[in-house]
Amino acid sequence: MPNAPVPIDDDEVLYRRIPVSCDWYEAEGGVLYPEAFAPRRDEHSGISVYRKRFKTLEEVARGRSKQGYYVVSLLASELRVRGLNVEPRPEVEDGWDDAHAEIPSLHAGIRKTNEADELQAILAELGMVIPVEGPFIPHVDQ
Amino acid sequence: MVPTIESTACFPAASLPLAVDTNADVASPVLHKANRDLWQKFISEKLVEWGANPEYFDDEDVEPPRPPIIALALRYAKQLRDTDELPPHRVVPDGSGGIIFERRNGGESLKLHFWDDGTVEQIIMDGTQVVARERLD
Repeated sequence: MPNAPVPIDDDEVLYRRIPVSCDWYEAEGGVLYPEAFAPRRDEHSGISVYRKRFKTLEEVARGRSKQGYYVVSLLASELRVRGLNVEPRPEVEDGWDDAHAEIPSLHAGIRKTNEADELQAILAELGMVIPVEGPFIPHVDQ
Repeated sequence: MVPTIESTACFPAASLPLAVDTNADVASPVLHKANRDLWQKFISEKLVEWGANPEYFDDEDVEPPRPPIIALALRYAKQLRDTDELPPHRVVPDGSGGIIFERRNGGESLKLHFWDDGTVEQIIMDGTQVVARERLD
C-alpha cells in the first residue's frame, strides 16, 4: 500500500539535530543539555526526530543555519525502555517523508511542566550514549 | 516587572555552592570580583550581544529571544550581579523565544527560565527529577 507509515523497529537509530549557536551541546566535555529536546512552540504532536533507516546524518544536518548543527543519535529501544514511545509521522508540511518521526509524549502543550523538564533530562542522558556527531557546517552557497 | 531582591535571592547561592573551590571564603574580595566578572561576561557576551545582533540565532529550528525577554533577563542578571549572587554556569536560549540561566553542581541543576511570554520560573532538578518549581514574576 503506498503512503503507509513504516513501523519503527526497536533497533532503529533516530536522529535529532541541535543548532550549534545555542550551546546545548558542549563538544569539549561531550555534555548534552536537556534544552536540545525542548519542544518548540509549533511541535504540537511531539518533538521531531529522523530515522537513520531513511536519512543520513548529513541530510538531517542540512538546513538554514549560520553555524550549523550537531546531530544526536537515539536508540528506539532505549527510548521505549524509559517509557518514551516514538511513532512514524511521515506526513509533513512539504508532503511525505518516511524519515520523519515524533516522540508524542513530549510536545508543546506541556512545555512549562515538570513532566517536560524530566523527559528532556532523560533524553539528554540517552543522547550521550552514542557520540554526538558534528558540527556539520553549512556550505557557503546554502 | 523589576525583580525584588527577595524574589531572586535564592538563585543559586544557597543550594548550589561553587563547585571549583569548596574551601573558598565567599566573602573574599577576589572571589567577589571573580563572580562579578562572570556575571558581566554573560551580560556582555550573551544578553547584550543577542540584543544587538538579532541574526545571531539564524537557524531553522530556533526562535530567538525577543528584545523584551532579553531586557527582562538583563534586569535579573544585573540585580543578581549587584547583590553578589553566584553566577550561572550557562546562559542559553530555550529555542522558543526564552532564555535560561543555569547553575550546576554534579547532578544538581538550578535554572532561572525566562519564558517567551515574560513569566519567570526557578526550577531545581536532581538528576532527571524536578524537586522544586516556583514562579518568580
